[in-house]
Amino acid sequence: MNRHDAEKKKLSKGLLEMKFMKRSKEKAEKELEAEETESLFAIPSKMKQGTKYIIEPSYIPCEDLIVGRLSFNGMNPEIELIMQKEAGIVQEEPEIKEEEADVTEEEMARHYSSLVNTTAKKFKTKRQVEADSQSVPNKKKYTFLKPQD
Amino acid sequence: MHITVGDVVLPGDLIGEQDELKKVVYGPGLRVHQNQIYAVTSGIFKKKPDANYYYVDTFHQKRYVPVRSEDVLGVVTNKSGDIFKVDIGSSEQASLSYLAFEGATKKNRPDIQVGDLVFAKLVVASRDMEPELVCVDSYGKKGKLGPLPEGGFVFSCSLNLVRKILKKDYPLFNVLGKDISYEISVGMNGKVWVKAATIPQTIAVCNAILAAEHKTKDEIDEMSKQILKMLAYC
Repeated sequence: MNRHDAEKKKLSKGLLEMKFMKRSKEKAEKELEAEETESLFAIPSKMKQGTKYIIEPSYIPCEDLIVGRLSFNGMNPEIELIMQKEAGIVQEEPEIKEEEADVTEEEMARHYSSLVNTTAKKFKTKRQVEADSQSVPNKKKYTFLKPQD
Repeated sequence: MHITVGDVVLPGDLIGEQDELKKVVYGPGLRVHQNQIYAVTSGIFKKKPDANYYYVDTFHQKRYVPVRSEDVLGVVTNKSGDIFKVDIGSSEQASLSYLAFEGATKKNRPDIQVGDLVFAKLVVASRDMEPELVCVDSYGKKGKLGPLPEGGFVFSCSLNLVRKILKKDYPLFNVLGKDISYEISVGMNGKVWVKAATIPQTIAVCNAILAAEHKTKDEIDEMSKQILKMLAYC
């Protein structure tokens, strides 16, 4: 009982009017609005306490009927998305994530393999670098060619 | 006379005494009066498997009696002030507030004209009051409800046919959906709206639904195959 009251406790009007409480005020207003719409459109539960039976005037729960709004083969993608969610197709989301990745795994591997070489260079001593450059055949030295008269 | 599950009942038939110890749900067609359970419609007395749900399955019914929380298909017939009047096939027209749409405010009204079709949920369905519709759920989201897209075709059928085709394991819609791209809106009030890619396909789906009234599950497959074959010639 106490816990329930504590949940319902709200900030006072005067406090919410203060300048630094602007964000809290907006939040409180939004919550109030959501509560109001919920009470307007919600279908109250039929179970009354104390009675042993419920009168159910609809065939829907008796025969487990589905909602009669369906779409097939992409006629209405909006409805089909809801249908898929209801059917519990979970694979959909990871697939989308893969498509969203703008760097594929192969590209990533290639990039890192070259990165290893680049970083390795930084840790080489001067002598090692020189040794490396010597092992590579010397670049052709361009010499000045005297033009023929 | 003792009535058991599977028997035919007529209005006024005494079904039995209300058992105080068991929790029971009495579905449509049953009424409790002074601890006695009576049938109030004619049909077969049925019980939902694995649940304490009892109800009367009517054979053929065309007049829709609004029931709270059912989804219906209606035609907007009048626009006056802040409510729309919607014909849902019941004894009285239902009212639909313009605020009962997703994202609607007093300034931002939904764009709905007289003659438009709406798929809406009944929130008020009382014997003495005008039925009231909404196009949003309790979170203010539209979900599957709302005005239907342009085009398509509407027809009325019996209420028991609607119940038949909306059963979870009824194959008709899925079988047709394999080859035809279409969308459909079936109201519990016996109004059905179909829209397919082409007009012959729309007609085919409509006819398939109407033909399903007297067909068993096994016959549906065969019928769908025939329909698809015919469509191939169109």
